[in-house]
Amino acid sequence: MKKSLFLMMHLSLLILTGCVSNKAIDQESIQYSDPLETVNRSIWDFNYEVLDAFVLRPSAVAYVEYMPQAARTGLLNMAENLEEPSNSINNLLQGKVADSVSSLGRFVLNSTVGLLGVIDVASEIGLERKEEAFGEVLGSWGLETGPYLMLPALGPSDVRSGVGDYVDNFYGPLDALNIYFSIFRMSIKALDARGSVIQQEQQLHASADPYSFVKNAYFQNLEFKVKDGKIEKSAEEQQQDEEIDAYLNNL
Amino acid sequence: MYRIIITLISIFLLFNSAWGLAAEVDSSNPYSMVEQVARNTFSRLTSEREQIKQDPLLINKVVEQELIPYLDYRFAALKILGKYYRQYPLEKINQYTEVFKTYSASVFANALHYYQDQAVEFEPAREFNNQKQTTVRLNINQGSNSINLAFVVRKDTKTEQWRVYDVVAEGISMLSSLQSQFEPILRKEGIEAVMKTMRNTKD
Repeated sequence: MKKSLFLMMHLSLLILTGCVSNKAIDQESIQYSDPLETVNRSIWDFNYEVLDAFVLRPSAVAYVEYMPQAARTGLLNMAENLEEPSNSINNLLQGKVADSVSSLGRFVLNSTVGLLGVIDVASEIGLERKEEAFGEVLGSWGLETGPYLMLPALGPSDVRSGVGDYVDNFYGPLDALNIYFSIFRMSIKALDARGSVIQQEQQLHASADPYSFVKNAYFQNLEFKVKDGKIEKSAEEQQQDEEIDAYLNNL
Repeated sequence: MYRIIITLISIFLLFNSAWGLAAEVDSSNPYSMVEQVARNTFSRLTSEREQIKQDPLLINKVVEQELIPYLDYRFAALKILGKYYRQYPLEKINQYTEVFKTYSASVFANALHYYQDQAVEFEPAREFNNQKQTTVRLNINQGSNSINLAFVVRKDTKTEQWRVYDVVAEGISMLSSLQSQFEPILRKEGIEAVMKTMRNTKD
């Protein structure tokens, strides 16, 4: 019963993304779909000016300051190791069989020899991490991202990735974690990620509009992940390059 | 007397070795150009780490001397204006380009604070003959994570020299981030407002 309910929810969400995304395809290359901008902006203000300033940033600074590097790496490895089964399936769904096997191998090796994932033994023998989320699978199948979503506390997302993350949490062993362990796992990932960008936050402060800076960066990075770094220039952009070329030559 | 000579010689040697560190940059090949510029910049950051810690503004000097000469800031500046550049007279464009040059130097200086002696690994060169643009990729390795950096270079049709006009980190293009930030300002208020924002946001 529970299972079929989940399945129904999956399906309806998937259909929803399909509908939304078809409408939301934007022609301008630099303008990403953001029909909810007003709501998104107020959530962004809350995330950025309240949550980050008073909770996340101070915690991340303390985490990086007091947690020894070895312990940080170990905790992050452990948190990320639990995603390997879902990486394996998501790789397979994109037809990347070798990466799928490698993800599974990483999980088996790191969970046992690597002491529940604390030590990344697999990387040492050349089994690299091949991270794939279900949202990326949907992207590789040609589904558009749908509108940009700024989620409270969780930060930037979009409809497609939101559905993907939701699905990813049903793969083992993530589905078996109790709520406290899930929160602990997410916190480790969040603290580590926030801690590693302390150096670059100036760039955000200095930008003319931090909200659109983050939105733009988010979508560009997403496209990069979906296409595994193989991004082609659009025809319009090539034409513009040539026009500017000609303009500069005439000076 | 002896002392003075020794001091002079050691000063000379010191300078010499400092010069020796900076490899000659060959701008006729995009791949070796980016690699040499990156090596020169990173090795200076490493050797001047202590001074930069005390005076963070020193990093601007590194950017000015090692990066700016190999940057096609004119092209980048026009790309940011996008379709709007034709609306403005040449003097305005030139004035704006200068403002952008200073602004981009500060953007680079900000970004370079991130470099903490990580290992840099260049991806192999590809064929670039008969091409106007190409992308030079490198990976910055940090533990089990690696960050992919791509330098988008174009050949100047007049000088035949390759220069960088965009830097893409993990798919996030600096140029297109700037475009998206300045486009609304450009559309609503025009180039003067863009210049004002650029002047104000540099540290």
